[in-house]
Amino acid sequence: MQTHLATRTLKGTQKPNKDVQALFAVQPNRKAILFIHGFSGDAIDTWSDFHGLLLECPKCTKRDVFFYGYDGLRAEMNASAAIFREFLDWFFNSTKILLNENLPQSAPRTNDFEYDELIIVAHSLGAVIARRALLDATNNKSNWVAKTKMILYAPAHKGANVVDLALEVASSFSFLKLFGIGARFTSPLIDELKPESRSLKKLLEDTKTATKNGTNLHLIACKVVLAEYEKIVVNDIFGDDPAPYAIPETTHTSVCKPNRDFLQPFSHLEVCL
Amino acid sequence: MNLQQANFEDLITTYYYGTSAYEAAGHLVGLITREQSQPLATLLRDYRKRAVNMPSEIKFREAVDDLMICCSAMELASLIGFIPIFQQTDFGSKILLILENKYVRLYYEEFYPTKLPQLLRCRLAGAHHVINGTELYSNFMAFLALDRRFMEKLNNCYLLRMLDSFTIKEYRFSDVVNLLSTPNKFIELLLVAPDKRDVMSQTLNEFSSLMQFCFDLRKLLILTESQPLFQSAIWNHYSYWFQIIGKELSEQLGEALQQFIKWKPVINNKDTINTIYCYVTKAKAVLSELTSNNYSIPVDDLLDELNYEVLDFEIIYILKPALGEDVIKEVTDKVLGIILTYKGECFRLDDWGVRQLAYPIKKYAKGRYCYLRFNGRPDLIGEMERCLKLDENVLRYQRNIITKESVAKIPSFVEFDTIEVDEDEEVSEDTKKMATKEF
Repeated sequence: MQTHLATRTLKGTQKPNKDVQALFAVQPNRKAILFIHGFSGDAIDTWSDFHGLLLECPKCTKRDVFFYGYDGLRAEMNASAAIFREFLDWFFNSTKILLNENLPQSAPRTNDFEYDELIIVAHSLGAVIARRALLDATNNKSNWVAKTKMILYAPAHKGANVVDLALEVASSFSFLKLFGIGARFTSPLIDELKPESRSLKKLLEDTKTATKNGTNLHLIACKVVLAEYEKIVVNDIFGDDPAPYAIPETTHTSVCKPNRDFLQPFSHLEVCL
Repeated sequence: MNLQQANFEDLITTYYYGTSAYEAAGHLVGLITREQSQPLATLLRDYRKRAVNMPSEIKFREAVDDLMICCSAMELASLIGFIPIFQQTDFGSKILLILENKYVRLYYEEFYPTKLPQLLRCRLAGAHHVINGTELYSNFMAFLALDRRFMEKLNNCYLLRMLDSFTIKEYRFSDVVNLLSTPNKFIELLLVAPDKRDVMSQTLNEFSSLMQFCFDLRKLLILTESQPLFQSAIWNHYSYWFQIIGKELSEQLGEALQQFIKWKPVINNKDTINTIYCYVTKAKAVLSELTSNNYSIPVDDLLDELNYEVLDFEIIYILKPALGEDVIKEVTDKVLGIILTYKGECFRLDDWGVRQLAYPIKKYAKGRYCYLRFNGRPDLIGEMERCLKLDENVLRYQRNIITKESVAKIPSFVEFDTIEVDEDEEVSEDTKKMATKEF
């Protein structure tokens, strides 16, 4: 049975110019899931079979699903967060326009349709960008922030050494790391993601301030999932985030890549729906 | 919500209005309705007989290729009932008009023989074929996601055109292979930011995307192996690359991949060398499989089935004269079974009894004549003849295709009342000829 319309690249006159893939539910329940990839990832490829598994999961049949893409290789981190925040503003405040411009005429939604919940599933750098975007939106008094939740896979919020990862994930030639690729690669992210970098320290301070006295709980992750053989990010707990889960036999890149024979990354999301 | 209609809108938006297929259709319909055969024949000519070099012609043919990709996607979607039957729509009539045109047919049936547009033509002409099964929709969604990446990252870009023997701004695929022999240069170009890429850096990034696409397509084909026709249709969507120029593509990419094995890793030990070797071996195996035609058969078979004309046949077969009723029934059941299996229809079955043969056959002077009239596809008659030939109870048979002209000559018993000969009498050559003319 078909639960979602065909995958489409989101278009829109006011939408930030980023690659966002959307799967609109046939019978929507005003809830959505948004995936945001990490360093050097791709809107959909990062998540491997998440796409297919979601379509077969009973808990997802009525949820809209979005895969957000951005330049995770060269763009400056706070700039990426600002663009993502703009996207979320558009997503929540211009929902009617978003739907009119992207749904086929024969699949309209009611005029009063709006999203009540958005689960942001973020990997690696995506976790930093998502939290920064939500923090800034909170400071801007955006009223939609309370509708969001974060589930983080191998988050880079306590720092990461992305040099070795540069081309391992930037191309399909997984063996390129054997050729000293990292030494040739320059990106603002290399410094920004260093443990104790100014950007990351500020992210932690701002989050602590915003969540003081139990407020703004959307800035605290619902769940954090780590890789057993993590070599890229620092696996320390960030602020008041919950104690993490770890998936055995996974690496930084495989921790968010479920398939039909390896469902653990998917199951961690499924229980939160 | 009319879900099929929504899907139809989505696919039309993506594959028709979202590409140059729309312009190609407009242009082709104009030429066809104005009966301008000569310009059409020239534009869609066989490139092997007269090269296509003019930019306007190349552009037009690329648009026609987009239209064929659109037809291919619409056929795939129709095959699983993802979209409604659309032959009565303006789009459907337009596409049928185009696909039935003689010159367009030559283009997609002979010059670039792609199967899914052929199936769509049959479908729009009334031959509806739909398959059902679990997971078809989710697998089709996976196909759409994969194809979106193919369209965005590879279709009408540099690499595939180079692999298709085009020169792009003085670069050919051999330049890519040469570049792969210098790892430093390769890595440097691969790292160039998207907005600063030149032909070679763009082509190398496409090379990476193409290899990833091949791995993902292979994965999807494995996922759909319980639905061989659907699997075959997905593969056929890319048959231009993996079948028509599959051999060249596989050889050229294989040669490029082989360059990696010559690279010297920073950490030069057994494990690292093995990692590269494993990647190259796996990549070449995937390419080899995708270009092997392993996946072509179900769609080929369906196309053959739809293309076969149903013909009327008659067969007269002669059984040995003294067979028991049970043996006669056995033979009869066998031939009727073949008609049933091959979805033919039997109109007449007469037992004309034991008659004198024109001349002895296998030392028999008499035989039991049976007349059978039926319709079916050519493969039915092939199987029928094979069966009669192998049956030791059958002395001889003759089959005819019944055309309108021959209907008046449907054999009567009298016409087959053969020349009386004594069993021991020597048969003259003339008599034999007369007899064999009948049989």
